[in-house]
Amino acid sequence: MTEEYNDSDLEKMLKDIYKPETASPQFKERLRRQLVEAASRPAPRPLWFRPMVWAPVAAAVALGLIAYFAVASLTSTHTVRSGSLAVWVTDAPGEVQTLDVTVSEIQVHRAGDDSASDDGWITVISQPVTFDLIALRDVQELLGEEELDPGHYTQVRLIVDNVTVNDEIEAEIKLPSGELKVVGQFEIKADCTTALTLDFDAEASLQYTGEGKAVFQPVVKPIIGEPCQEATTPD
Amino acid sequence: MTSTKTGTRPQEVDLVRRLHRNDPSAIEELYTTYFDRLYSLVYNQVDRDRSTAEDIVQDTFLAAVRSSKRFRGQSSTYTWLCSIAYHKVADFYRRKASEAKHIDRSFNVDALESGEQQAERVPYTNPTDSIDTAAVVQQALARLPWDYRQVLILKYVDELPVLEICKIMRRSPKSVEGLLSRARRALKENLPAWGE
Repeated sequence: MTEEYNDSDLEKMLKDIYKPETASPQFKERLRRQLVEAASRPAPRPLWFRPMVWAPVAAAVALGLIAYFAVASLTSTHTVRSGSLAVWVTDAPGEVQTLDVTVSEIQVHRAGDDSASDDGWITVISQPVTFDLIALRDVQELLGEEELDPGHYTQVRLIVDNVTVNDEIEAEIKLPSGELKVVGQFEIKADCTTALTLDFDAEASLQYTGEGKAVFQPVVKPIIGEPCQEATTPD
Repeated sequence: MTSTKTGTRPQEVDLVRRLHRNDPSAIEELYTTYFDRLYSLVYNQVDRDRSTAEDIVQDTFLAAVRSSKRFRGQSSTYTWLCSIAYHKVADFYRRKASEAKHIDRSFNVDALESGEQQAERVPYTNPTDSIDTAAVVQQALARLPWDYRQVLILKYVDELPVLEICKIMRRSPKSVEGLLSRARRALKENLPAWGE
């Protein structure tokens, strides 16, 4: 007779494998010193006051949408499959110290659902997320993830709430109703991962006025991956 | 789960307030309170690779110090640190995947779902008692997608509530529950059958 593993079996197995681990004293001490140094370091002079320094600002930002579909039920009692959507962000080199972008909502539009009560727009992220594009240099950050139904999707809509440069300058957001719509067709297939990366051109997105004000008008290029592929960092 | 204590809510509120002021004692407290538990978590998240764990923990604390002014205390301090670390762990796995010329089939969810690996299942003694359990379970875990392993570690090893996992992974409760369910099912399918 074959028995099924129950959750407590799994928990015990996992705890046996993933035991608590202690760091080496050398590493602990090294990190402690680094943190003390970081804390005592004075805040650098905002580049905002040195326009010649940040004039050639160049940054690239990517928001990725990764849709993960639920693993097909391996039992005979098959249920409707769903997937999940993950939003990633990354950056590119630039001389602005911080560029915090707050997105309060991200939605995707499913083709053929225009007559639905929500006009086919599905909210995938509903919690405000703030990310610093500059701190994300050469890396990506997951903004959020949500399940989605399989289908053909045609647009992504981001509600951009706030953009702050160097922790102090709130940039004016130039978007109709604060919404950024990106047209990009992608498929969500059952049991597969589809990656959609929105490549922000920060250099083109962030402009400065002669009065020392910043204007954020996103320039975005969608990069669509093949189904079942991981998201990749834009070049 | 490690026994490292974390602060009570009032202590955490005070810690956040002091972090916002860039108080060096707050950073020291952040480090001494959370280092051990976070290190252990990250070490397991990166498949017990000490060097990678050190890099990620270091980057996490430095990022936390840099971005502490933006932490509003809406989650626990430990959850906040875990969230920063989780994204760095995700970056690690993504870089690892892109560096590889091809994705190992053992990471392929399709293979898990198609039941190909079920064919390898053989009768086995109770795995929770066997001395070979560790190797068998490790093999089964290695076949899982990385995010399946992450959610299992957060839930069963670090014993975090689903709502905290939601904040770390930035997923909805429904999404985390679904991921957990799929991860448990995939792990069970990858383990050898056991019976009398």
